Amino acid sequence: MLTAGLLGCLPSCVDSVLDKKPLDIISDDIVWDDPNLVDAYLASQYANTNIFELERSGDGEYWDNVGGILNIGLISDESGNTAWSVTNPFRYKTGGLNISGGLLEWWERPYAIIRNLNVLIEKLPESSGEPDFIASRVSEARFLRAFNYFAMVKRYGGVPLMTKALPLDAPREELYPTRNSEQEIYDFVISEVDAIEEALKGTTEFGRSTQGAALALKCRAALYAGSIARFGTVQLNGLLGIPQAQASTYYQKAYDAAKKIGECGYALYNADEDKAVNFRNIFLKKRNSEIIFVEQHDYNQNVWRWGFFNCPKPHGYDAGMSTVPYLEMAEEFEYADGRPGTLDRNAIQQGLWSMEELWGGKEPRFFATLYTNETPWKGGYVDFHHGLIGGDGVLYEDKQQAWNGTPAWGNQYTGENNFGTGFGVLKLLEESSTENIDERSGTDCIVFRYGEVLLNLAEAAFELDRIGEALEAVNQIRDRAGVARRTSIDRDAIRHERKVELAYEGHRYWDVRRWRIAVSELSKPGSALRYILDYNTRKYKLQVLPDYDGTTTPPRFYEQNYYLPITLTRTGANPNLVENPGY
Amino acid sequence: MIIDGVEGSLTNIDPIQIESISILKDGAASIYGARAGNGVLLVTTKRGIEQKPTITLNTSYTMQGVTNMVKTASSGQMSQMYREAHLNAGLPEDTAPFSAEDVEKYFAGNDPAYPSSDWYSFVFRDWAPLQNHNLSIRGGSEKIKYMGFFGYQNQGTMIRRNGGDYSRFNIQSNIDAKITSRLSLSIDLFAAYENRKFAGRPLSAGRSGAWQDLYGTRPWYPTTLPDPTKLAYGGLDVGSVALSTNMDVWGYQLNRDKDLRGAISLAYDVPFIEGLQAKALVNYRDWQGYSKYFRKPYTFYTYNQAADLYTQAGAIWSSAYDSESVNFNGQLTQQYSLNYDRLFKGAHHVTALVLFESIDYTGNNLSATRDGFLTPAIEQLFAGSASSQTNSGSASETGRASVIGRINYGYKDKYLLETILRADASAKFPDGKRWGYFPSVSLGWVISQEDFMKNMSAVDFLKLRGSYGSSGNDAVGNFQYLAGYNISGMYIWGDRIVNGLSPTGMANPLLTWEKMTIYNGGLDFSFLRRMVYGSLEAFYRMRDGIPATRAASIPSTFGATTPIENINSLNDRGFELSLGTAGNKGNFTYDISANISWSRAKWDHYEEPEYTDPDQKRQSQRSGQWTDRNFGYVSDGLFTSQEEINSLPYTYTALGGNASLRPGDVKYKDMNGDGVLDWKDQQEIGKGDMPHWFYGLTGFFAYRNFDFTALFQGAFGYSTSINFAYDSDTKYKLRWTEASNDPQALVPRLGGSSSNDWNSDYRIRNTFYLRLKNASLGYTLPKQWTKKAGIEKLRLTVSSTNLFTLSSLSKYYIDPEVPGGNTDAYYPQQRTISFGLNLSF
Repeated sequence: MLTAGLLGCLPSCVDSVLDKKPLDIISDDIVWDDPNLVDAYLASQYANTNIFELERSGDGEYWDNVGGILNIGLISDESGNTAWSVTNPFRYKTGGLNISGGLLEWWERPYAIIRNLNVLIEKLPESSGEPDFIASRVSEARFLRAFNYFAMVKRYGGVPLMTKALPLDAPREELYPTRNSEQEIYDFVISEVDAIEEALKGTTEFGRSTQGAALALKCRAALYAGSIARFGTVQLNGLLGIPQAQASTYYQKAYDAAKKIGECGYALYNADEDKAVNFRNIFLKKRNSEIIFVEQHDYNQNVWRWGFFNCPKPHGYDAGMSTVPYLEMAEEFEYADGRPGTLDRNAIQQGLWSMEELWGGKEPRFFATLYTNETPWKGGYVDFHHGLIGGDGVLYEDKQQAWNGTPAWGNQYTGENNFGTGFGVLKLLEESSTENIDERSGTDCIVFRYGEVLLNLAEAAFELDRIGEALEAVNQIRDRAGVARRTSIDRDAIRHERKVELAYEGHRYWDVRRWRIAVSELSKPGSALRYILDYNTRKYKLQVLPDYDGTTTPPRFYEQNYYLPITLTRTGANPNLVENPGY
Repeated sequence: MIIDGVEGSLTNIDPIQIESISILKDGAASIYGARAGNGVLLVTTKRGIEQKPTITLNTSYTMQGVTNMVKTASSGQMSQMYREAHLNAGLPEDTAPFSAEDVEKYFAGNDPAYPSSDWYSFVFRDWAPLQNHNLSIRGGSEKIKYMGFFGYQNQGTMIRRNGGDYSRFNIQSNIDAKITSRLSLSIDLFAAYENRKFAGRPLSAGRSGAWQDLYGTRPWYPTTLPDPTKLAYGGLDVGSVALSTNMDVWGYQLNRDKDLRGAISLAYDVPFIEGLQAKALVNYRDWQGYSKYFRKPYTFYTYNQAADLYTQAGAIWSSAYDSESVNFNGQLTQQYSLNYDRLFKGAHHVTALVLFESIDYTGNNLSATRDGFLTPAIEQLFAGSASSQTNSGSASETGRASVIGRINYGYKDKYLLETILRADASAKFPDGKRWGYFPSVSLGWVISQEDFMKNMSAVDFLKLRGSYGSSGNDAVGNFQYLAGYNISGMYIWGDRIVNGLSPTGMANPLLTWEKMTIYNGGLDFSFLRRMVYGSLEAFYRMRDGIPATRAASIPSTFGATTPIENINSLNDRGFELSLGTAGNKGNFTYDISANISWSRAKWDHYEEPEYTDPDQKRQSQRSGQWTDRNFGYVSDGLFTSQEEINSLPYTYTALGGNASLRPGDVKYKDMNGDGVLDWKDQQEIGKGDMPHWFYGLTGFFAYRNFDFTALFQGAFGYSTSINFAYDSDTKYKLRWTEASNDPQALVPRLGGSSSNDWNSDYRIRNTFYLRLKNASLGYTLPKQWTKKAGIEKLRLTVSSTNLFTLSSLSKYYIDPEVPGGNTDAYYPQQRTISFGLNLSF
């Protein structure tokens, strides 16, 4: 009986044990007909595009990944070496970028995103959805795809252009593609935007790609292409570089796009009386008139950590001040009346200075972008003093010392005694929140704003010899910033305005590269400023500390670094990829 | 791991519950399961025996200490290392973190403003307690046999203050009943409850853990402040190691696991057919885990003595955070078998087995978090703020079915043959690819039973055996053969949070079992009544169809996760030799044996690109090479002078030139002589960090009422990469200094070139060790004394583990069994000493 029972139940036993269903997978056939699932699929590609957050690549262990938002500032001349940079940018900043790559890599992730977008672009039109819905979603996908290709071309030059999702049994030439030329990729980005910008008019939901976002992408991409044509060289048989003669065509496209954005209804944010407060609020007042495209954050759900990394002390985690602006950056900001901001290094190291004497009269953007000694913060002020001249005239330099109740050190140091450069980044810090303790910030990360569009317009106009328009655009920026207007304009003035207006927004590194001035600009050592408090007068003795990054490892940018290496691993996996020159 | 016939795990069993453990390594292992390809540990728990009831009580108290640990630096040492790192980078004296006078004062230690705190002694204790108590009762008659067991264990951590502990309760009851002359029944119940509560900062190796805190806490901060209500800052983002390892300050990680197993088996002697038995076993395992992580905010201060001023040095978190999750898992195992066992004509012993087994797994989990607690005093979810709450849950199921047939034939115990055929099916594979067929054959020849050997009295036992076995492995994720999308990630559009939908990756509808084939040969012998005994064994194993993706060979421009396919293959080979001697001389009994083994694996086919560059091929190609090769630069000591650097005939291209090199940096060799030091100069370095050679020695000695057991174990011929990530006493002592200018110093110039961190043989040291793993001395009280008190047996023991170690790494304070990559930061190997008592009556 036992045997009979055994044999009888065998088949059904086996089936129930082996026929299991996945409880967490949605099948392909229902996704494309359901608009909610299509949107979810698209949302996931937005989320995967980590570079929205200041070129964060999404690689590395937790803190390296999350701290990736700092790299784009650390690698340029905007900031010196800090504890974070030990893991990523610093070794590349000092000349170590070689064929192993590792700096600002954006290759594997975008190709995965591009494949997913190609699948949508191919399958959605065949589904049963509404034509308007299909058109707008396909256009959004094409925007994301173009954005990712733009991110790649500004790093590596030409890359393989994949516009179809390949099956595993595709022919060998497709699976192992060659690199398309740099010009082809730029042209692709620009032509994609031209094709989709109308369809995106209907998208208004904040945080999605709109017509303005697409045009801003075209404006920036065409400007970059124009500069590479004008200042770069054609290499590798046309794979890299754009012929000089075509510079004007690209500048014209940038100019046209900028003009069209102007007609879309964006305006410089100018709601506050105090110009410094106004400039800070561009980044803190969500959804204001200047913002074209952002990655939104919410304090509880989708967070990032800009404020947590950069705010002054007091700080949970003994961090903060993770971006340390060089003294040279502080000097870059002019005085409100238009005088250049360079300090007389000898003069300031003599005698005692109050903060008003030292920084008084600087343009409002200085006070809105940087914090330094005695900057007001959370009801108190930032205290950078490192050393105390007591009432007795003796210099007290040790942390444990004090004179009459005033300690020898302020609180603005990380680690043992790292006072950084004497400056920190105030832009995008939300003073009213507890981001310094909670390890997260809810501020939005701006990808495109109207201020940048005006600067793009100025540069394009200048390069097209429309000096008057360039001057006017720059002056609009200066008016909003609270600096005196310029009467004349030249290339350096436009570049200066860009450096100061868009500081710490992830532009400087790309700008010095496309202008081909990085070999000189990014190979300069930077200095720090030390404040020593004088007990009697409450003023400060100042000390300029040159070579902040050390004399054995000063910043160094080589000619070949204008293009990041393709790297050994990728050329090993696909021998059809040609490595960039110099590696 | 098979426990009482069913797959299980050994982590929550008390060793006293175990009757026997067998290790099956060759073809015979195939009987026990899919995934027996790596061998099987067969564990049988104690059952009732036919005897009058015996109650046994075991109790032991153990002190756990540390074998080897890198010591923390004193304030003088650490401040000097900081200073050196700063000055060596070419940074000015003015901004140096400590002046030369500061360093002297720290070393002198007589200025209260320059203290040197011993954080290690403040936070950790030298001995952590462990206690184990259990009570069991065993007995039976012809009809019913029973075994009941209750055990308790509690183990503390090395942390002195509020470090948490682990406790476990085991309950077991095995009952065998003979219901009729033909039918017998067994009912087994097993329960294990484990509670773990530790400080929230992980004690495991790696970043953001307690060990990083230990070495990072600065010794120039005092461990306590005059005001006891203020927590002392130790220089860390989390305050200090004393705060992050204290459950009352940081918070805790709590785990409560329940493992309940119940089994019923029936065995029926089939009438009319002598030797045939039918058996059915049903076992259900229900295990649940509850996990809670509760984290509290705290603030810490520094104290400036001169100004009598407390300054807040930092704060961590602004409110408490609670994260809880529950897992429920079930495993239903059913085995139905027919077993035939008969001896024909006194010479032919035939056994046959047909067994059908099915295993059904289900799993469920649920989790929730909240933060923004109004007060950390209430540690439950409801006290958190609803605006930040998250929750999630999921479920999964899978299963396996197998049909096994085995035939044994033995002729006069001289010639032995066993063949097994397994057919296994797994729910992880698609229909049509589920079933895998795995045959095995074993042959044995007991030479000592042959007539011509019967005269050789010197030979007790001599057996030659060989086997061929195969088994399957289904170690892939569930449903790799289906493509689809799942919900992951999210993005904010407008005012709403949108969940993201991502593809699961490409699917392989042809995915099937990985197959393992093992060839094994051995010789077992025993001479002169066990004066010499031992065995020699060799094996060759092939693994075929190892699941892997073609990601390495298809370029990333493809953009999708390529499907898992059965494409890689590997082979393993090794041998083992053991020799022993046993005997007795009057009241003295002994049994000593030694063993040595070697094994190594090689890739047969490894999916990778077809490299065209000869150097890349040499370094990266794995097919046909040993699996544990390591490539790096070849070093030649440290630079000892600037002239040596200037006269170097080649440049460090990967650094961008030699300009940043200084004496004390690592000198690498330009192996291919092309004047350029780059990736092409990398060679095979070291010998792999998992040893290939293992050896051991066990001894058992008994003299009258005393008994002594010792187990020595060791390994040699492997490499350990010594990398001091943290500033410690050892790093201070082993570092290169201008004064000593030792080109072989283990730690290159502090603050030195980034080329010092390149993967090279500079830090790799050949390792060997011999360790007294276990030593145990026992004394049984003479029976005359104990019988008077009604006690059957009373035995006292003193034992230790890891008592004594001889290793080539002891001068670096590193344990030779260090887990790869973490030379100075992990929960150290324990050296324990225990006192035990067992009592039966």
